[in-house]
Amino acid sequence: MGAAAAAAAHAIPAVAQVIPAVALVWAALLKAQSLDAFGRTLKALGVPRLLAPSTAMAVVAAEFATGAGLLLIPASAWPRLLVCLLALAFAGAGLTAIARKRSIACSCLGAVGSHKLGRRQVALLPAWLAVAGLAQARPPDWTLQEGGLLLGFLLLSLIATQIYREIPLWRELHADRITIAVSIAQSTQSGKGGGDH
Amino acid sequence: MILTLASLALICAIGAVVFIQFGAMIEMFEQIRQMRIYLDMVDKPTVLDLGASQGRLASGAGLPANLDAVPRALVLFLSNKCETCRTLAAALDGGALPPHLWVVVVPVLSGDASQFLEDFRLYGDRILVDADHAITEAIGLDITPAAIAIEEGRMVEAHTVPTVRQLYASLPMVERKRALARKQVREADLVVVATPSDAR
Repeated sequence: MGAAAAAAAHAIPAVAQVIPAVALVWAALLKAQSLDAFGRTLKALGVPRLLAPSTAMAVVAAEFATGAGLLLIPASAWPRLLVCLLALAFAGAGLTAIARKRSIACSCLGAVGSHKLGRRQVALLPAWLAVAGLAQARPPDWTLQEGGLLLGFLLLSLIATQIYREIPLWRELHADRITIAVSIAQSTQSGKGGGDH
Repeated sequence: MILTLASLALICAIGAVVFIQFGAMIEMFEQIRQMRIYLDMVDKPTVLDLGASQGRLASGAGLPANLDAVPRALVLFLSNKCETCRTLAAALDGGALPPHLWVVVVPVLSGDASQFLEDFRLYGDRILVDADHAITEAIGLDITPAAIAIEEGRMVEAHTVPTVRQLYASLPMVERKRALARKQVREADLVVVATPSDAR
């Protein structure tokens, strides 16, 4: 019973450290794929037109750095502090959308989904703070190398999700390529055949 | 320590770039798919209305009487002019037809389809020529390539056949596998021209 409790006391902060890391790295990479969409969200939130692209890049970089930092240097407090700051920024964006009574595309995960900014971001604030607090209470003690391995595994897993999405599309297009090739070959053949007769 | 950090940064950068590249490819593939949908180049059969012929005995529409006795069969209607029909005929070229597949060649515009039969070496007792359009008119079918599914001797469903893959997909499962094995090709490779069904 005691061992189980000790294991749980060890595992819970580790999980609390990994969850925001996964969410932030994933969100950053998806946003990086459609920076324009995220830039439009920032403009709708009041960021000046000229600053929106660079702000979008800065947010993406901050999310990625925070996610990577959580995994690479678990003992350090600054990534968890950044999680709190980012969560406050997200909630602030949600509150701004609510206050302006405007429907603003979230672009939280780039072009994936069609959520709007609003209550969801505000409601998630306590969850972000809770996981950061939980991890801060007993920071995980894995090494930089182990953290690197975790980050590598995370990136590979995210790449795998892209491949999983891509393969059906690729198969369809591969079939199309053969379709077009067969079609061209047969058109050429029938054209030649017609000329012979 | 610095080397480790530099390696990790490099791995992160490569991972991020690979992820984004895959995302860009997905975007591109989806755009091509959208274009295919827009250009009506989707490998998807369209169900045709059999009207009064639905549930009718095959022989009642001028098809061979021995079709009335088969539990399941597919009757493929090809015209001698449409490009997709030629592609389908090319897939059957010279080989024995898959079991339970009948082919009705409907000559249009000119000729008696003999050139078509010769070009694609379509011979046998399951190849018919609807020279005077008696069969297609009796069924009310005015599109080729089309297929009619026969169950217990009755016509149950008609659909267009935009690709060779759809032809094989329309065959009963066991026959489809045998046909594919005989052709020594993969099912994915059997997709051929996906043009909108050519109207005769």
